Amino acid sequence: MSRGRHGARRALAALGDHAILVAAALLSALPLYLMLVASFQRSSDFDGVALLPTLEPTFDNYSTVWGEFGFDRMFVNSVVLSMSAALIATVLAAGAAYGFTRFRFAGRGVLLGGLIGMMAIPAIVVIVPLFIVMSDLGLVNQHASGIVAEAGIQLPFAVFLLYSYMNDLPVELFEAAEVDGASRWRQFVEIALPLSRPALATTFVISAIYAWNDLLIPLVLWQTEQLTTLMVGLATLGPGRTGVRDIPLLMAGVTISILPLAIAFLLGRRGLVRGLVEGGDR
Amino acid sequence: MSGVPALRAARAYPWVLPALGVVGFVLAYPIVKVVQYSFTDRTTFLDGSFVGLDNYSELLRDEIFWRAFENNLILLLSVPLSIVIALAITGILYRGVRGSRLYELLIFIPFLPAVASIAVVFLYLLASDGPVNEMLRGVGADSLAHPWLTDERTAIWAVLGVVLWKRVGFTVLLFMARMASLDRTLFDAAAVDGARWTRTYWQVAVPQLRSIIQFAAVIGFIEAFSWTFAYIVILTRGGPDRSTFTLEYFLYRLQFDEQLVGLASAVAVVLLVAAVAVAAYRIWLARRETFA
Repeated sequence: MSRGRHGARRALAALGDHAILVAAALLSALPLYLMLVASFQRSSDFDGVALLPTLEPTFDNYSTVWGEFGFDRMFVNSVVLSMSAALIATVLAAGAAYGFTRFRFAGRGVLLGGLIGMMAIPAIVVIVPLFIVMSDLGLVNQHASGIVAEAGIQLPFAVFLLYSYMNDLPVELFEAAEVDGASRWRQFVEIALPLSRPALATTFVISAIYAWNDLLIPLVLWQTEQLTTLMVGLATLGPGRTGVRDIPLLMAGVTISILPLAIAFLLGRRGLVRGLVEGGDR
Repeated sequence: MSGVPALRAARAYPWVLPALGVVGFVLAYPIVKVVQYSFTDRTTFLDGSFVGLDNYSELLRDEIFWRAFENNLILLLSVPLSIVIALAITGILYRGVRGSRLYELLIFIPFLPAVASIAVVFLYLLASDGPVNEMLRGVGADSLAHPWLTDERTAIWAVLGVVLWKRVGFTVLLFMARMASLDRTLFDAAAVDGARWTRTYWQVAVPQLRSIIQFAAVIGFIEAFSWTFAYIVILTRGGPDRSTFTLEYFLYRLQFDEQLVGLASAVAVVLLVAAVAVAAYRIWLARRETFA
């Protein structure tokens, strides 16, 4: 076989590879591209489809959903839910991870295994009793119900991430501090927490993203208009529900719901991706 | 470590109890209750009484239950499909074509947004006069243009398409992360030749990805049996004519539209059994890997 033919075949194969990748990349990016394009169209100009960016982009849809459709309030509710749940999950998981790494006690294995094993339980399985117990306590449509439920659902994974990390910290550091007479609390604050900073950040961000993206918990536990989150708003605003047929408006709303994630992703890409891979798709 | 066991436990508990308490309240206690409810005819605000296995036998006789189960199985097809597609893409990316970082980033895009956000976008894309049909008509494929989500024959398949669209990028990401830890020199010789590369990739690299493929399959399974709720509630709301109910959506409707706690709980127990089976399988896999 001549070199020339060989080279041509190689070039052809490379072209085929590129074609597959271009197709995959286009398919992946196209829906969000079309979302953006539609969101900048004037509703009166929109006739069901917008494939190319308009020459006269408008921010009107954004200001309308933000102001008149209550996306400002929904945005705040989503922030409150995701930040509080992520904070509670991260703090409690840090304490638990430390307790499970630094103490040996009866029932340790069973409790740790049981806690982490709860990762396998989807929220839908517990939603019925959770709703009933929350209403018995008078907490439905109160901030506490959504935040506690969301934190509880994120906790097993948070403990898993932080326990794996803290368990790998060099034990000599703690032993040296112990010899110096440092209390367990001081060892926690001065050694365990500072050294676990990257894992704590990952845990917080991932819990916040899951809580931000969750639909079921706020849909069931936060049913009032005052507590509607972005995801619940999108789910109830969609065509057919309340009959909002204004696509550019809806697409502006969806864009608002994705924007904070895009920013978080661009800021902390590497750590985030690693954590997401470990956490699995949810 | 010193001291009597009881004392050591007393010192450890303040650290672990808050987390255990919240998880107990949000997950463990409700799991016990849901099993208990499934044997009663309870409604949301009336305690009801013990009815044995009545709820389960009613489910087994319920046409919607079986259709929902079948739809979960259809959505489960997203698992093998996404794995095969992701393996093909990973093979090309790993060989290292020009611009592969950019491709990787673009392919990862679908993973980031919430299911709810994505689903609303696809409501627009798949509408009868939406972009997908418009593009099909544009290339002369008028006969393929179709009300994807509102026709009983295509609705669940359209949902499968959306699930697949969201899954592939994440699966590629998983596989690429694993490939990075393989010995690159195994492939360098083969990378020069396209045909040899393809053979080497599928025969040498892919078998080494076995554990991560199993992982992708397990979480895909969990998703198809527990996280389809947001897709269905937005894309089809179970319609048309209840043809796209899944078990999660069925449970939700039984509980929150019909207040049938007992029956909804029986569906929850079915999902619970599936979740526990998958978790057990995952642990068994991990054990076998450790002791092999």
